[in-house]
Amino acid sequence: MFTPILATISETATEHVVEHGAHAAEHMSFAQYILHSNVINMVFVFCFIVWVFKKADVIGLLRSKQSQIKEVIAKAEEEKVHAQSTLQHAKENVKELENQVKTILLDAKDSAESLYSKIQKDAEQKVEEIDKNLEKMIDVEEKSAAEEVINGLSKEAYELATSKIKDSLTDELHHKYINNFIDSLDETKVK
Amino acid sequence: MKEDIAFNKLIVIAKRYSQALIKLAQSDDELNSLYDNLAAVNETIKSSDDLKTFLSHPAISKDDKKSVLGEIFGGKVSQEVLNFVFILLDRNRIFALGAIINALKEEMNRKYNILVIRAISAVELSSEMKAKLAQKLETIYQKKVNLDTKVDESLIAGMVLKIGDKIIDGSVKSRLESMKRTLIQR
Repeated sequence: MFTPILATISETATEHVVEHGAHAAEHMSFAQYILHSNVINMVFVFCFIVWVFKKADVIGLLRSKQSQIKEVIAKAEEEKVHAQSTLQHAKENVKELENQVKTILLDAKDSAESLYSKIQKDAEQKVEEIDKNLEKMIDVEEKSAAEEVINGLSKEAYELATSKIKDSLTDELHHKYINNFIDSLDETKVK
Repeated sequence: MKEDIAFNKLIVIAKRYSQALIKLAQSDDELNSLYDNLAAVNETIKSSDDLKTFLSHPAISKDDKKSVLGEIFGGKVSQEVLNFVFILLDRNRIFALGAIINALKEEMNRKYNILVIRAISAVELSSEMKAKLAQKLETIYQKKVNLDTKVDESLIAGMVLKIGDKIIDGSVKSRLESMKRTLIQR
């Protein structure tokens, strides 16, 4: 695309140089000639660059890129702020968590102490009850054993006394008992 | 419960009939004779299972029952007593004869101011002892005492008196048992 233009420019320049050269050869030195040529080249290059810039809308691209970069930066800033906020929140959560952990630990300690106290109290009560029951059981057993012995002794004593009395009873004694009973009867006893 | 009701009913029936018999008798001798005759009829019926079965059999007519009783007791007991037994048969109350006799005895005792006392002794009471006891009780109760004696050797020695619902225990057995109870309680 640029080749025909350059060729045209080159031809024009050549023509100009040739035309001008005829005069320059007359009027200017070689150094002046080089200088003029470079200046012209520079102008051409500058124009070319301006053209290219206009053609490709480099500034627009740059601005667009700049805008994108700004957006990215803004987004990054937002994310940074968001991240900072999250971080802050996380820190707060951690702090809160610590407090909660402390509270839980305190509660657990209280509960454990209360439970321990209750268990200890219950155990003491049970031990006391067992002691009491044991005492009662021992009392009952003692009484039962004593009753058994007394019953046995009483029964034996009763049987022995009955046997002895029966052996020693005579008709005379029988009559004496009956007469004594009849004599002992009075109004208060009978009515 | 049912038995108690039946027993109470029997007592009421017996009391009514016994009161009727007392009214029927014109004199004490007649009343005593009435009682003796009824007691004899009752003893005869009680002593014969066949006669008891015959009298309580529902398939045998009342006339047949009367006829048999007439043959057995006719001429041996007074006609009033026989008629009274026939009335009991007619009213299906012959089973209450024993209770009626007991009630009659009670009514008679009440009428003649007699107190029946049961005396249970370890040995047989001599006639002197019976007289002494009766006299003592008559003095206390101001009533004629009729002693009903019985021997029970398990009393060991001494005696027990049953006067109505009251019991006076003077036996050696009860004293020994009392001592036994005292020992156990201590």
